[in-house]
Amino acid sequence: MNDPELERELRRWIGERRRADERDAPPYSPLQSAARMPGARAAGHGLAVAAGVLCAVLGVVIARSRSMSPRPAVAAVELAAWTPPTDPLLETPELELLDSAPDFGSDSLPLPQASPGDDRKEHRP
Amino acid sequence: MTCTDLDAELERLHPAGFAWALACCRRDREEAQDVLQTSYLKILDGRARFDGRSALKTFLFAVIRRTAAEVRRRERARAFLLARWAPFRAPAPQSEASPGGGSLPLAVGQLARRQREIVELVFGHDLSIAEAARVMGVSLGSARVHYDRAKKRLARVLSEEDKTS
Repeated sequence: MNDPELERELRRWIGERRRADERDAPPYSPLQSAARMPGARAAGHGLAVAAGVLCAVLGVVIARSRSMSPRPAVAAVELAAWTPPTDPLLETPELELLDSAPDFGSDSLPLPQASPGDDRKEHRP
Repeated sequence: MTCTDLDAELERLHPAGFAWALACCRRDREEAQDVLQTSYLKILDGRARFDGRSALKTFLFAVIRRTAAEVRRRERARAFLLARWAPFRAPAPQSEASPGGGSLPLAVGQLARRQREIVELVFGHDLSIAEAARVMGVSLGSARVHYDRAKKRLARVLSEEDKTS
């Protein structure tokens, strides 16, 4: 098949098919009115709007969770004030003796009073 | 061009637009209707703006072609994602064959997409190569190359078929 013959055949076959397609085309009005409907436009933008709302909600949630979480200094103070719940088990009787130093030089202990003659009697050879 | 003029012109070009949409959508009628409706929506709400530098037919055909390409890309992405969870079978392209075409429809079906597009535009819709280049969004030189290769390939395929038959 030479070039003009090929072109003629192509024009004939594709032209016939195009005319058949054009006869088979759906009416213009429903397509056009569907495209003009506000719903069609809204559907086109619906995804973008939904994504925007989702981003805004996520932003608010993240901001609120950050403001509610304790700051580091406050957390340190709270950690220092913490006491273990088993502390009362370590409180035993006479525990205050271990925590305090003995008081030397005071006469808190009641010693028996010695008479002056007793000393001489004891050291007499 | 006023909105009413645009509407009237679109209505006049509607059958040709549908035929071109069918060619862009592998002869899938449902998909062609969706593509055409989306194209009208783009034009009517101003996302695709006609600046008058070309004929309205060329502009409409370019919008249809771009919209069909978007649909095709979306389908490919969906197929890729679905393939991870479920075996997906892509829809088979409709046959190019039509009664009375002989071996020509099969030969045209073997062309690369751009070659097929330029053959459709030039021989089916009577556009010049320059107008077809504008529709396809390629340079005039590139369109000429596609056109030339398409004709050479068609001639080769048809001559091979003649020899075998």
